[in-house]
Amino acid sequence: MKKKRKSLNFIIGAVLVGLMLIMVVWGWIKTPYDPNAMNTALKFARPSLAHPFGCDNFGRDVFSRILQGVGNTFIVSVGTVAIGTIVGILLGGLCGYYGGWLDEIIMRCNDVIFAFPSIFMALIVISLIGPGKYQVILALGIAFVPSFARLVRSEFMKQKNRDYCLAAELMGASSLRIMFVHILPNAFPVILSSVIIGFNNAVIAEAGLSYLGIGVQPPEASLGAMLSDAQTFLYKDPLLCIFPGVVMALMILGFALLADGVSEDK
Amino acid sequence: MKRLKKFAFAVVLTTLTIALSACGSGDKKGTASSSITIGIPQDLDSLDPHTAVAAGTKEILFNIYEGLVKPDSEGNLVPAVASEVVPGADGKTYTFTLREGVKFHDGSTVTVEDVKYSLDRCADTTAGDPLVPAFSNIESVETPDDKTIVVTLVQPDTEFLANMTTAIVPKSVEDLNEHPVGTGPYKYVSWVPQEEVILEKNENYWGEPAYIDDVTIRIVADADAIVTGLNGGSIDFFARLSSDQVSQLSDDYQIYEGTMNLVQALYLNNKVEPFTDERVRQALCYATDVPEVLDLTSDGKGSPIGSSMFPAFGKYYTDLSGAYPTDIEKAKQLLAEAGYPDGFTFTITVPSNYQPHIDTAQVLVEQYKKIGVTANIELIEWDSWLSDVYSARNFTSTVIGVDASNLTPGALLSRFQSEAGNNFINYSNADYDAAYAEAVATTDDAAKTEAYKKCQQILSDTAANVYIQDMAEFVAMNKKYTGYVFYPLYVQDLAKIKPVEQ
Amino acid sequence: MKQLLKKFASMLITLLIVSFLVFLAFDLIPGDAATSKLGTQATPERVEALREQMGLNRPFFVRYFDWLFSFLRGDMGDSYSYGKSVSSMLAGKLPITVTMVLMAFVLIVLVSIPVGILATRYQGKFLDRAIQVINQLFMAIPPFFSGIIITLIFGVALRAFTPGGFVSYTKDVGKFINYMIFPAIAIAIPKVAMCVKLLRTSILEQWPQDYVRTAYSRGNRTMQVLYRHVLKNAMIPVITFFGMTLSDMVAGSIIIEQVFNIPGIGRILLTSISNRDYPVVEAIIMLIAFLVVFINFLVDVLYRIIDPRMREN
Repeated sequence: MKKKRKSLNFIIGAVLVGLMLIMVVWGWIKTPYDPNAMNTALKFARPSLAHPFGCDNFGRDVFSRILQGVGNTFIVSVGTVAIGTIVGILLGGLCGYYGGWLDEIIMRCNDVIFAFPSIFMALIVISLIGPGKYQVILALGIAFVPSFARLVRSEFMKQKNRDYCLAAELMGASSLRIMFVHILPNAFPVILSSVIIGFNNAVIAEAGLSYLGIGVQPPEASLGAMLSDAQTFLYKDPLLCIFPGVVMALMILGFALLADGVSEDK
Repeated sequence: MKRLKKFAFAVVLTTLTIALSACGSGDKKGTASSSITIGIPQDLDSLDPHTAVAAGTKEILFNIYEGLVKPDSEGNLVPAVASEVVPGADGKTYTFTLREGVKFHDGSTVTVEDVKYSLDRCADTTAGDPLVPAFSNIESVETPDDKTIVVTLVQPDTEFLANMTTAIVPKSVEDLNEHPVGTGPYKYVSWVPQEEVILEKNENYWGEPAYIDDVTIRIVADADAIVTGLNGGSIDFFARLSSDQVSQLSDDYQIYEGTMNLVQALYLNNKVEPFTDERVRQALCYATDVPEVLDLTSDGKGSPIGSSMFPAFGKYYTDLSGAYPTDIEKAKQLLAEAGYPDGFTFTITVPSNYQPHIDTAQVLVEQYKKIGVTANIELIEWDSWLSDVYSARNFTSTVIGVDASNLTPGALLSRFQSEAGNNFINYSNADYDAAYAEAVATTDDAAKTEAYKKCQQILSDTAANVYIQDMAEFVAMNKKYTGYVFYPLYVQDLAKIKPVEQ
Repeated sequence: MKQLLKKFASMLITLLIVSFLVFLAFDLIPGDAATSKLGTQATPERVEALREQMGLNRPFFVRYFDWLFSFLRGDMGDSYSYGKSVSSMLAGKLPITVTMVLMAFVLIVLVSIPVGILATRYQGKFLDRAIQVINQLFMAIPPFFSGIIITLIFGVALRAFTPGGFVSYTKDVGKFINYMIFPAIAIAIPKVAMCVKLLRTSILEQWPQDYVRTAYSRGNRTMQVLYRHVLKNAMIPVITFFGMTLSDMVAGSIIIEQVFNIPGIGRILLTSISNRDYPVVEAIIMLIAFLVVFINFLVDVLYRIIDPRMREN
């Protein structure tokens, strides 16, 4: 009974994530139409065979924009999580393994970042380095470091006193080797599921930044930007909101189910 | 186990009931036609009419304060606190007769001392420039008797009267930001920052009194919350809507259509490569398909313009919108001549809070692709725009709308003089400077008009900017009210709005 | 005790660094309160004169320490854009945001605990599955979007409130509460989902443990085991989560306030950032940072009380 369910979560999650990856790659290779090409005649066109998701207020093909948007949202989220995870593992690992004053300093810096509302931090970083896809990744990435660092730290603290670490130490393994060859793989399942959850938080955070006008720059699309642009047309053309909204929800759902599947599997 | 289940359900039910009990009690705003709730997109920056700078603030303060003269909806200046104006023949003196029995909102009568105090306050140069820049031309303000004010200028200026709309305030009030007192048809009641401003009818108004007793001005910062607020009935009136917003409104609203009275253009920094080259600027003008911009961003509404002036200026305005018909071949040829046969890449900086400008920029990006020019949009915060683009002139190009502070052509054209402090596009043209100087100096009306037209022609010929349009403005007002009047200036005249007779 | 004092000291240092960074950021980003106030009428001379008048042309550290010392004395300074004292401005806005967050918090507690228990009771059955699916969906909606949907359903369709028709608590407390229910729901939704999930996992982790078997062997029925033993233990991570949620929601209210047109702390923060009104921004960020840090501190203290092993560490 139990076994069946966990695989079900995993399967549905994997299918949704797979679908999304197909869309990402499709968007990179070729979209049916130029996602930015405008056409007066197609303003607010309803879904049709030629334009399965219809067209937006500039007569741009919504399906092509969603393909481009999924790609951009994916890049932003992966980039954000990558920064958060890599920096988080390095800092958290050092803190958890060595402890002492190093731990104290890094964790205080961590606290400082953590104490900032992430939207405030993103606003400031964007004001300093200018708007754009990659700047958003940096801004969100920094905001994501503390929670990863904390998680990795506590995981490393737990693991370092286990027998296998002591054994490795006795055999003369260097600290770095113990940290990254021995502890990291053991801490991996815990980190993995929070990476997936982090990915989802990044998708939502990107949408929030787009809502405040500081995400991916127009005319390029991202799911968050499409959603917040479409808000203006909610009353008469709700489809413009619904398509990116549903795609975003499915994307997050897919990753969440996958995360559940992974953590039940460990 | 049953009990547990029941308990859980009970709690869920209770919370649902709490949420639902609120239903049905939604209040209907504005049913009493003696009051109206209007929405404005940003908070006021000051209640002191002399230090307020934002156009959005001034359009509200228009209802509280008045000058010796005030504009009417035709753009003419009509006597207000003064009952009569006699300009001197030499264009150097203006003699005002104080209107009898005009009272401030605090009940005191307006005296010539109050007028002198108000004008002197705005002409004061101890903190650098005077509060009203044109007042640097004032030599003296004299009050020979208790109903006459004589303003004497240093240089003759036949258009000076336009600056006399400066608010007359009582000498006795120290802090106008805390205690705003004016002579207008509405008086101030309260202001909660970021929330609302409340005004009430001035019963002792000297002119035609307002129709509606209580006005609540609600600050609605978010563009989408505006539509929600209108459809939901929490706002009765909103000016300066885009066609996209209007398209989402319900039938409860009467839509008035006018123009925003501003010059929307792709402003080019004339000191930055490649826009130093006139041919490159002209190429962009030829590549711009203005009708398509209008079709895509505002259902074709808006007036195309070809220079830095909009039609509300009447006799001074000259229609140059046809100067650069869309011509891709010609644009490419000009680019090749200028040494950019394969095009180039540039950045369009746009303030992130102005969706109409963002929309226009997006269309331009697509249009310039056709001549091989790649434009990238960069959205920045309004305050970063002010300091980086407008003050520091550190930009390549920007889409923005420039409005006029009054209806003298100088309000729009003076900034393009080579040395003007607000010449943010770094435009520099000796012919232009000469033409503008002539326009200001001459007292002959026909010659003046001609010179101003020449200025516009030069801006167009040299393609100072890629001129686009005077944007369409939509005003939505609940059908319970009527009487909205457009002004050729940035003004909302609330005193003209009246409830519909039922 | 010494440990706690140390924690407390480091909490103060964190706040100090935060305040410094905010100040530094405002020095680095383009524009200042003077250019912001003058808008398109800014000429170099006027900006200079206004800076002089506002005291913005003093050196960075002079301004920082001036601000810091007045702040420590309890004087938050005056807002540049409104000319009012920051404390009076916040005093007017704080009740709005606090009410919204507290209402959301009550909703979270009232809904998530019974639903979480329900899910575990029907573990693997249809109800449990349904709850989990709904949970996942709720977690997948960006907050501003759920705000819009709530406005559409309750405001436009059901007319339960007037969209955008915020009524201040100073005018009509009843209408104020009525309006605030809906943004509170919008904030609560994703948190409820997370909390249900956490509680469910947490309870399920307890069942196989020895003390549960002991409790059963003493003749307790499931109900009693659940309430007297399991729930008590399972609640520990959930309470931590509640703590984090509380501070998270204050910061997260920025977007929801925008969607529902609520003039609360988040709105003031956004406009003050764009007005470069740093006394206001400093005060609000310090408030949020204090909440985050203080709740962290409390959680730490709680852990020490619950788990004696932590005390030696």
